[in-house]
Amino acid sequence: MAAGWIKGVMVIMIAILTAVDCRAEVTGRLLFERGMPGMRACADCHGKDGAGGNDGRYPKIGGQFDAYLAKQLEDFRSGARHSLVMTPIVGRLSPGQIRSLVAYVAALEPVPAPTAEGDALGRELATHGKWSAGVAPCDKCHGSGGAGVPPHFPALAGQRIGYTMWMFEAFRSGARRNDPLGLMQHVAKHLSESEVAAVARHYQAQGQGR
Amino acid sequence: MRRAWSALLIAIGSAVPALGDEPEFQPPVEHPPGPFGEMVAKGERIFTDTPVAAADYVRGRLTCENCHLDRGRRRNSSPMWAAVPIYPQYSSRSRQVVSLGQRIQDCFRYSMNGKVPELGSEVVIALETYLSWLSRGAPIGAKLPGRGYPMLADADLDPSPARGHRLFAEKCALCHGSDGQGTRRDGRYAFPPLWGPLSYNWGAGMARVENAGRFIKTNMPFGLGDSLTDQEAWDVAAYIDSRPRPQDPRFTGSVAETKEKYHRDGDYYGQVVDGVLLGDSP
Ligand code: HEC
Ligand code: HEC
Repeated sequence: MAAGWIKGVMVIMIAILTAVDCRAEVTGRLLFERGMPGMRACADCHGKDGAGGNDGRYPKIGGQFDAYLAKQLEDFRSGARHSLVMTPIVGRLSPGQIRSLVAYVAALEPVPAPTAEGDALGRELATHGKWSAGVAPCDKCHGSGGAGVPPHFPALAGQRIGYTMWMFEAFRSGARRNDPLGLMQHVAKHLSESEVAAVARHYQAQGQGR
Repeated sequence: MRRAWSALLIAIGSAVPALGDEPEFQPPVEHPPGPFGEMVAKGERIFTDTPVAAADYVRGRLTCENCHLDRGRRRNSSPMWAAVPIYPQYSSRSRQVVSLGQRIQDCFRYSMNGKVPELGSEVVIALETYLSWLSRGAPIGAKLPGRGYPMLADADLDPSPARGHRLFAEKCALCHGSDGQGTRRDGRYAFPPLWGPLSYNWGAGMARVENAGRFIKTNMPFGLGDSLTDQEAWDVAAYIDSRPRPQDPRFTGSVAETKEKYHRDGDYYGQVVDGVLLGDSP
């Protein structure tokens, strides 16, 4: 008798929880694919599967870790990371909408990146760094193959060449300064343009995120 | 006559570049071919992925490379090419002259908190092969520039675990976690645990505050070496080395006696810090 009662309550609870969960997911998907009045859909720029595009003007975000996505959106909102495009978008979203979006984007299946030639110099920098200039291997922080090390070190695998090069320029010039301890600003200031291009090619060639 | 000699010496002296820009020993890059090269590769794998490649001999989750950066090649990170030429050597820890192989055994015993592989076992031979290959061309017995971890200036203030704790939260926790237990990814440690059951034990060189401080000063935060002041390095080393860690394998059965015998000064063994008697866990 008592057991049946408890079972009944549990069934209802699960039903409610699932409904809440689905709503969050639906909200995330709707915002991502359709946007809302006065706000363009994320997919317009980042692609329906979050794979990014337009020669790296729009980063690949699908399958990126939730903690990193949440931090970037918060940084766009607070101005810690400056973006003419993303700051106004994030400013229109409620904390709950942001949470739904983060969950939705993080759960997107990473799609294979456009193929890129593997790059020997890029691989060398990624796996062994350039210690003579004080640059540690990217993979030591970003995980082997650039798979990422949550919660603080984003995945780089499959990221667009153009976006990676753009971010290096931003870290170097100080246009982007939201990296903890200035770790990336240091890296960016100690690599040449051709080295950055090589390592950007290397990571796009790593294909899948995660 | 005397004058002429000293003039000559001065002339020679000034022809020698200042210590800082002395050309440094460059370890080889390409692994050699054949069975020797295979053993070099095996050694490098053990060096960089110790808990996996030498799983039978470690209980901790550190790699050799965690303390000897860039596969044992990095200057001021106790590079292997500067260590190999000065073995055999007297070891104050073992209180006897030890060979390179025995020194490697000590790393397993203390830093890896492991089981000691036998001299002549594949693990020891692979590591000896890798280290010796890295040192090819280094003069035997020479004290090469870039060796060891550079000295710290004496601390102005007594090293303070409390100040160290604040610095740890600010600059180390990002990678090592605020509980110091490292960051894991797919079963491997991307960043190593610094205390607790999976870290180095009380017999390790790193358990001595000065050694840890010297390592930290030049090599941490990872990727931003040489950015802390000497005082900060002392403080954060004091914090890390005043947390619990695995017992010293030379444990006599009593913390007080082990302290008296092996830990008279230079570390926190046998002291009570933050309410914990250090050296009292298995
Ligand atoms: C008009 C095009 C556009 C739209 C719409 C857009 N983004 Fe972006 N997004 C960008 C650009 C460009 C960047 C690169 C950052 C910069 O501007 O500095 C970016 C960066 C990001 C980043 C940081 C990626 C990283 O790897 O650091 C995240 C996360 C992100 N966008 C999420 C979203 C979400 C979620 C939406 C929808 C609510 C969205 N974006 C809508 C263009 C867009
Ligand atoms: C010492 C650790 C460390 C090293 C070494 C390192 N990174 Fe990073 N990197 C970070 C951190 C932390 C972030 C996240 C910054 C943030 O939170 O905004 C980051 C961010 C990035 C980003 C921006 C990601 C995005 O989606 O916007 C790129 C691109 C990047 N790193 C590439 C590299 C490359 C390439 C290398 C090697 C040449 C490298 N990193 C080496 C720590 C590191």
